Amino acid sequence: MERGYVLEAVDITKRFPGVLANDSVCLNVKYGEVLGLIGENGAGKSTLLKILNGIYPHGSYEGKLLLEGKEIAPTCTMDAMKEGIGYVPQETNVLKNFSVAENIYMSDLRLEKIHGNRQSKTPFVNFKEMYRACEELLRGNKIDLNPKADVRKLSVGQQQMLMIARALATRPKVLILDEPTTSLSSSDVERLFEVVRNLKENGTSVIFVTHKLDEILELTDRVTILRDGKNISTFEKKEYDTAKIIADMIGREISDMYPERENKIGEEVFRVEDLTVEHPYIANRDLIHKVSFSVRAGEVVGLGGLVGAGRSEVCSAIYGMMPIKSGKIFLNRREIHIRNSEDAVRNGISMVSEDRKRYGLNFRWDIQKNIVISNLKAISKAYFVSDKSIVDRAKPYFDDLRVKAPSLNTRVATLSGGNQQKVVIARALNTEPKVIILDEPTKGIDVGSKNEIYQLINQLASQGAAIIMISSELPELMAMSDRFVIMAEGHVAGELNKEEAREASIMQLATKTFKNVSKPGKEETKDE
Amino acid sequence: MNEKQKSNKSDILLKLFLNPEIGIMIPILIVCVITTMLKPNFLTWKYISSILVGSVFIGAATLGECLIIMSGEIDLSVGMNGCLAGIVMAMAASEWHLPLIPCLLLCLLTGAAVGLLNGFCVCHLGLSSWITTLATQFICQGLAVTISQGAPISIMSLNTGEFVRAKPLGLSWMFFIFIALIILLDILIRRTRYGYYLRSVGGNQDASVMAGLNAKRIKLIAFVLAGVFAAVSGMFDTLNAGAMNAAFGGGREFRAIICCAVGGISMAGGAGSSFGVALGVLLFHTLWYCLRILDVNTNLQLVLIGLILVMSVIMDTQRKRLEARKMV
Repeated sequence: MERGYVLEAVDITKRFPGVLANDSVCLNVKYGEVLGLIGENGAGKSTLLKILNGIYPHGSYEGKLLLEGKEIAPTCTMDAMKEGIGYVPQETNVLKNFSVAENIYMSDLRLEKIHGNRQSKTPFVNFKEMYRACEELLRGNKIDLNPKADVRKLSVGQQQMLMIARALATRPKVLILDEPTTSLSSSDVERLFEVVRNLKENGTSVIFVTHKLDEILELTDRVTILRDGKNISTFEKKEYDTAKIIADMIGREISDMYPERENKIGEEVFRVEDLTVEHPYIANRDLIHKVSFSVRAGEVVGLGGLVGAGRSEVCSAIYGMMPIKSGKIFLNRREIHIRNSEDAVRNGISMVSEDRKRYGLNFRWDIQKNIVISNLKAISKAYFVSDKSIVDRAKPYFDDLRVKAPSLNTRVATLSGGNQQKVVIARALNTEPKVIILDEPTKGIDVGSKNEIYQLINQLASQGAAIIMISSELPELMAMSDRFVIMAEGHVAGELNKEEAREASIMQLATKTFKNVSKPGKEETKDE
Repeated sequence: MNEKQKSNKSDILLKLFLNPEIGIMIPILIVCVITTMLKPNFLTWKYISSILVGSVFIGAATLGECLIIMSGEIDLSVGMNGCLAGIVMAMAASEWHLPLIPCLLLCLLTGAAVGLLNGFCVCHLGLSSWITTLATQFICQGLAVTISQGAPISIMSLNTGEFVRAKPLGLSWMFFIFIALIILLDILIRRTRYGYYLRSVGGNQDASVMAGLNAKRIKLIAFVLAGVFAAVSGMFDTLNAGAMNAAFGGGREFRAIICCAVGGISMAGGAGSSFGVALGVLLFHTLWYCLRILDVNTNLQLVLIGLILVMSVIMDTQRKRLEARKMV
């Protein structure tokens, strides 16, 4: 038998009532390679991963899984782990009250993986051994974490690393990384790539799932593209061609990823002056310090900066989700006071949060109720709301935003990420806002939906809405914004026009440091 | 053709089973059938009316509880809150010699005030509803005993005996008030803006705030309403007994929570209907009543009630799983 593939999935077919999630999908992973798996939301990636990972037990699907040529039949995640398939889910789920090492060895407190299968005789945990093993594991995989560190104090990037370390502790033959870079900053991504490359050198195969093409081009040796639950194509590294991969992913060509906008920029609609927000946990420290900017009608202002620069906090404060310490907010040159989101919405401000799961939708509800809930006053007679008025109100948004769902009654939990995001945006638009805040509106959604959301932003701008947009993807921010407000360490580091904005100039501002941040008494800020 | 008819038939059966309200009726029927087998004259109006009339006391408290659970919180004070409200009402009648209507209003007001206290602590001070309402439960109990000095207080002066003894349609006025409350609550939950807000906050509070809802105010109103419903249950107790005693209403909050669970109110918040809750109350009360007329040992009664409730909740979760599978 040829020693070709470490993991093979042959003709996997998984049906849900009414949906064929995987239609004889094949996937094979060579020894020591990084295989990219790419596809739109709803292409069947997650289903396939859940089969490999044992979440969908053997028997609930057709087809077979071969690990090193031997058929395996995992019926739960523990099975898959024992066979040698490690899985790092998209969302970090760390145990916040335990240390790094405890997190890593929680499933194996007897340290059987280290000692072989020799059963430990005592009921006590050998912490000394655990920390030693942990240190070795982290060093061997070039993961920069302290085994004794308090998990609560880790950044998102470090938590992601911890998740990977936890999967590696089971010594997998294949490691599956499900969109590991979604919430990472670019330096964290670089560190992650190093870890992956190191794994590859040590002979561990990696399946790397992502939406981001750049990552595929940079990191992977091969890429398999799924669409509508089917294999579309597999490319070797030397055949990589961005246009071809995108075309295969979405089944059509996007001539223009970032569509042109013809908007007339009008009068100033919205302005904040010296907005200051206190740190919620640390006394005498400002999270946001004297931030001022304005937005005009029909204008898209891009809030740029690194993760943690305070962009989301500015928006949360404007939207009444965080208490404002000082500063003024003007709408149409009239000062407004916002104490909670109700005030914000009443004044014509609407927001789409970056955290779709937490702030996004009521997952028990269908599409129409999720859309209309933000503005029931518009459809209620006296205090009563009729089913018909809900449909009448939600239908135009459903159609305009091209939400791909069987009907308005479809539960939002069954929608793909991109379509959920469209429902979130529809809900925000339902309040008929004059100012729209979009915090990472395309986070974690596929290329096709992204393009549709860009078109929507253009449409809103041309209708005269004032738009504030946050994006950590620099190309997206640069293409979509008319003007840039770049933040760093809770301050506005500078403003740029569309003409003068280059990646370098934005990054230069974004990495500016401000001293005396911890002492709000001193007003002066200095460049480094 | 025949095949198709058959599958249609099983489809209808499945749909009936999937309907939450009908899902609860099944255990009620089973309990009734078993009781009838052991005591053939069970299915007479005497017993049935007695079950219906007897279910209003816990029923009123459960209606309030279901609002709170729907909003994603919990209220452990409904029992003692009702008791305190009843005591206040009785005091108003016997000590302060107030006429009927002010007495009733004072009763409801007391319930609302306790609800407001709960709501304020939970919504504006950010305390856990478990702790807050446990504390108010103790406060209410302590106040009730203190005010009444541990003795029953009569409401003879209100002359409510006739009202209580009246049997419209063989039932009681309180039963019809209870039915009216169920219908009003159903309209509130399913038809009004507030009902949508409440379910939205219970389903995902953060998302609701993002949509511009004032979650604090919405929950505060729910707590006040729950207080009023608790007071109604205390009022029923007082009217029924012709007197109020600080020992009434103990443990009612847990029975109310169980009735909600059985009645299809999701403990995670955001889902349920008032008719489901009413049926949950009916199941609980029927069970309790049947065990009593069958002369089952009191301690064994508790065991059986526990077992049967767990079974009906298991059935309910199975039903939901089936439903989820159909939906995907």
